[in-house]
Amino acid sequence: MTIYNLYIFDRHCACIFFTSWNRRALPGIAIDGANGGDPASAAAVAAAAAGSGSPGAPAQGGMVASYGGDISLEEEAKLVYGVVFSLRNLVKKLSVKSDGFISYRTNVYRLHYFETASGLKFVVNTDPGVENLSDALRMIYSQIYVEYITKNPLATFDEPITNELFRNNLNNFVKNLPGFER
Amino acid sequence: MTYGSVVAQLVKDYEDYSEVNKQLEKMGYNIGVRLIEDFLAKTNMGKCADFKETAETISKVGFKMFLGFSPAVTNWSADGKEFSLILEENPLAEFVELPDGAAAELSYSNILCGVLRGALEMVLMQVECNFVSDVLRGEETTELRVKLVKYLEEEVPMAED
Repeated sequence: MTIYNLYIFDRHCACIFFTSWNRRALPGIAIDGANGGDPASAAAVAAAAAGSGSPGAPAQGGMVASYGGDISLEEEAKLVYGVVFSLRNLVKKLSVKSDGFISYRTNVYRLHYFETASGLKFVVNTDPGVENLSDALRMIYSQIYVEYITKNPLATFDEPITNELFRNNLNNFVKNLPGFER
Repeated sequence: MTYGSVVAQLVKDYEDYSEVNKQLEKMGYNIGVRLIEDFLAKTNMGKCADFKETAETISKVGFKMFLGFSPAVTNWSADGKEFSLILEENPLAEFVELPDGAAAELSYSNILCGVLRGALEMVLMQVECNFVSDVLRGEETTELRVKLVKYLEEEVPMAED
């Protein structure tokens, strides 16, 4: 049971933070990465599957995104955001409660999602066995993000997070989560 | 008291009360955009269903949490888009007296207007906020009028073709 990576998106749809743990090197051959224009779901599954370290899981249409080499972080973040955004809208239209979409699972990974009313979105990819992390994500938000970013007068909004304290605290917190193993 | 010294310094720097009001509002706006995150983190609330619920939440939860008291929500307009907050006790203005020229023009607690505007803008509501009356100016009550201008749209990522 491991936690693979974490994205934080701000209300302007930009990725302001990304970090990964346990990213095992892929032996994979890279076929043309699923760049731009592909339906978000297929591409993002490939991207996230590659990102999550599982060796060359073929996505739909027989395309395999390489390990981070062909897809830049920016592209990957955009794809992830697209998946999450579309799913969220879909679930919102189908369900009555406001936070409908919290997680989805494939046979390779599980994606957890948490969103605040202020438009901040937290996305975590883990392996499929991990239980629901939305409480953990909420704690990351309230105890780490708010403490180190929001309360920091020098941290500008709408820009990537570069705060070392934030990063260290986040690493400690995630490593202490029950689902995390080296 | 620190708030008073901030206002005093601003008055000294700008010497024009309307400019000071604007600066206070701007400061409040910057505070508000961050305060809302703190608020959401502490209260774990999701989106409010409508503007009335927003008003109640601001008064009972927000003000209570950050300033220690809860103003009354009154004077709803006919279309439900405006309301007033009556502040019985204003902790910002305790022990404060305004100098002579200021009473007419200075909105002492204008920072609160900015805070509300900033905070609500982060949850996709655009509001205008101003003081209708203020005890510091010798009137009876401190009343803050909040008007909903419109709901803002969520940002959509740019489409790639």
